[in-house]
Amino acid sequence: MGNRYLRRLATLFFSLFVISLLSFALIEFSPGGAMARYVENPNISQADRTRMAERFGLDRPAPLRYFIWLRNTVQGDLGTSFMTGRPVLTEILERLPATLKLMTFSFFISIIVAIPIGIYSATHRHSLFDHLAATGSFLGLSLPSFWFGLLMIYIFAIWLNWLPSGGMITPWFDPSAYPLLIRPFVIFWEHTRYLLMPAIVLSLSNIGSWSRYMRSSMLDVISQNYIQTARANGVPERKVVYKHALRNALTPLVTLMGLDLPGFFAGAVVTEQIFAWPGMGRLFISAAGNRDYQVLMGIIMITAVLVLLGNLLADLMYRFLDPRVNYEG
Amino acid sequence: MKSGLLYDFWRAFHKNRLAALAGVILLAIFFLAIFAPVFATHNPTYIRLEQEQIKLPPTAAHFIGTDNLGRDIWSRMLFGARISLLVGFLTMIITVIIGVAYGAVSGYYGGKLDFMMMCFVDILLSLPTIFLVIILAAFFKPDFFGIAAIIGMTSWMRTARLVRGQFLSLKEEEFVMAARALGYSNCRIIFVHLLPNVRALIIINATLLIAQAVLLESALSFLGFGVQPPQFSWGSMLSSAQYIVFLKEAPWTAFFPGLAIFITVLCFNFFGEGLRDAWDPKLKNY
Amino acid sequence: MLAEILLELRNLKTKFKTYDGEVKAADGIDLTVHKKEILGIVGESGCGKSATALSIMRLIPSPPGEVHADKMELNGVELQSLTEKQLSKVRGSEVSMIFQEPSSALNPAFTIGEQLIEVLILHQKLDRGAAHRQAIKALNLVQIPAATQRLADYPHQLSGGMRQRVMLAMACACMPSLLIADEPTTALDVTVQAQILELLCQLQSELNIAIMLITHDLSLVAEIAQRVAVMYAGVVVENASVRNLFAKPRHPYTQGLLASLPLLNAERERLNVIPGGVPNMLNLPKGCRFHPRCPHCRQICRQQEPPLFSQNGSEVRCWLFAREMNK
Repeated sequence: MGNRYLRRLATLFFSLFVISLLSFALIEFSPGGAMARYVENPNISQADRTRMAERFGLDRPAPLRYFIWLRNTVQGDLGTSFMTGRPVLTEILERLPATLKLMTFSFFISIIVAIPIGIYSATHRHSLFDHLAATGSFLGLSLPSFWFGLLMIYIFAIWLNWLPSGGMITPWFDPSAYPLLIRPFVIFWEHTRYLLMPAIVLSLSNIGSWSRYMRSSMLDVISQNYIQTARANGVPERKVVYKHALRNALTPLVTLMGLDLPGFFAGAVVTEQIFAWPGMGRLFISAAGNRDYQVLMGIIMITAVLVLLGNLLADLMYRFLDPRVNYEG
Repeated sequence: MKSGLLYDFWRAFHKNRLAALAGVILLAIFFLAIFAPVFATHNPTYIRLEQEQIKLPPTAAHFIGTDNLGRDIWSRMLFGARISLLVGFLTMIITVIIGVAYGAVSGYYGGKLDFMMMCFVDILLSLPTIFLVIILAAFFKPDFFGIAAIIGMTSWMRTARLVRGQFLSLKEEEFVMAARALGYSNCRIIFVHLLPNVRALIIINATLLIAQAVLLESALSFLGFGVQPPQFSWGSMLSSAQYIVFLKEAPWTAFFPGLAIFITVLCFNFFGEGLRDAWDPKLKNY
Repeated sequence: MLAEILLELRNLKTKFKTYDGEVKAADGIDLTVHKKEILGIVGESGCGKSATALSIMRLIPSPPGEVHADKMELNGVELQSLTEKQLSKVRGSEVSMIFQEPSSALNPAFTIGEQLIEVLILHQKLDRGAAHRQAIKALNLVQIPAATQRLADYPHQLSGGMRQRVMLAMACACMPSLLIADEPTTALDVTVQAQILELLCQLQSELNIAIMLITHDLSLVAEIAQRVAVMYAGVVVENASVRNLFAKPRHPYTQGLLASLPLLNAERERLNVIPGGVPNMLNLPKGCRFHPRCPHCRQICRQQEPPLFSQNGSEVRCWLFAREMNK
């Protein structure tokens, strides 16, 4: 048991190492270099650029810089942002909670919508609902999220004026202005109304693919012998579906969720941009536009750590749901 | 064999109306894109900044209005389709070439090499590839071919996995043993003997890859990292609608190009699913 | 044998609608199971044995399945009239069923105990503690050693024979009056097969359970059953006590089956086989279903399907006996 987790952990660190090497090389071999954005600025001379490059340590050879970066990163120092001069870790940690908040909310929306749709489609195969769900999932998978986001903004923010078009919270929002009794609800609504549209946009493709997957997984399980056994022993159909079948059908879905995590982060980049959500994705876009190497590296590494931890968690969940894995492994 | 595939294709699409419809719509879109100059009513890059020419709602002169620089959106959509579809197809070709070659080698040779190659795929898959795409696109400022190359180089992993899985089981078949016994080279066995067996799977996958590529390219262009002016695609036409004021004043500039992306992607997905029904009943979700 | 009738089945028809046409898995089955007896049901795979069993359990999925019988009474209760809710009370407590594949017949996500206790709570309205004690008793009954520890085990931790025992424990935990065993030993090793058969006999005598043993193996039936029904292509072709059937098989198909059994002391060099194969259920031959393979085939066999002729509790569906037996 312990040995296997040690091996998983070793794999995790190895993956991080490969990812860092890859991203570093990618950034390094791109044309222009870190100072390229100053080239067209007439106020900054060649000498200034050289001096700046020296100050950031950019005059040293690339492999050496990689090892310096690696040493610092292991010690928890992700370097300094070229743009702001602040530590990269601080910049990211300021933005990360917003991204995680959006992703968590969206994750729950996806689960709450996708799983029941999948179950109902599977238990009512070839019904009208099943066909609608199948078509719906195709629509969800094919919708360009930015277009869908703009549509929602136009309908709910501009036309109906129900929800704010972007941002995370009203800057001058002051809960103490409300009576104590309704204050929790006001705070909840204040957060929800900003979250709602971006979270739905981010959930869309997940709902599409997870509901389909849940359906086929459920169908797979329902045709198994042990479901027949449960029925033959008089377990009522509801319990057969929601206890015996669901437990087994969820197992592959958990794996899929783990695999979909990178896509979730990717979706967050676009969604944050549309809804002016002050998260890590927006930071990445502005860093990419400004060639802020350290921030780019930092975000990639933090994301990789989160994804790999998420996969580890999915793995643990899988083991919890399917006791066979522990036995065979 | 070929006629078998074609026959299955015909039979399935005869039954699956939705997939057939998707195919027809796709053909119509290709047609419009190829003959864009014929159908365009205006010069798509002609900028007219007079107050009465910009952000015009749909009228007789401009089917679906003009954008913030007074350009005719209908004409721009026709020409934008060329870039969007071209990038989609190019990306698909690059992805398929890399993915198939990688997966075939990994699956055919198996063993340690396979383990290491798949390890690498797993690592790449645990990274949101859009990050790499954005970095490359932002630094290189590529043209449409560059965009296709960048997307292709970062999205071949799933295709590689798929092909690898097929090869892993196929190489145990007797005809491969026979080919080996006859002394054919590994290269010949992979490309002449094994590859035709996964043909259907690759075509299905390729169709879905185009859908994904069109989506990714449009997202990239929307974010401003895609094709750069004066080139434009459907995605970059939406880019300016990021500004709320603009979206409020001229929603049609965002609506129609997005709808075009949506319909195209949807049709590719439906068509791919139709192909899957026709050729690979095993993969169907019942 | 004048025991009370437990299950009475008249003219059972089970159909499946497929893309290629309608398959009649059971096409007019008549069966009677008496209390406390072991009835063997024998036939080749695809002859409708399992479909009959599932029809009795009312576990045929609809669509594509469709079940109709003139009479399907268990303990005088018409099973076809029961609602889904009433059915789940009958299943597992009045009539229960075990399946061929013990490896996949238990839910891999729950422990043996959880699955057993669920059934006990469901039918006997016990509290957890009592159900737990009852579960241990049930495992003891099927001779599983260290029953208390086994309750915490997951199915994959047990051997195939042990799993089949657990299946039996679950099926018998609530003392049903009828146990349907669908090829219970086919997937097991020969030594384990013998143990399970012995256990079945023991359950029958200790708990007074009637058992419907479905198998393709005549020798198995000879060992433990009292009566046999031989099925062919969706109908019962012969129905007799084990002694009569083995001593004097009447239907040509039964004769063929018996002749194909390997005998230890026989001087035959080769096993006899019945010529031909099981008919296509989508396209049954006209007249007697067996006539294309029958050595005694006559004109009438090709034209008209024979009814069940009966004499002294034996029944046979063959024109050869039209004179000596009653319709």
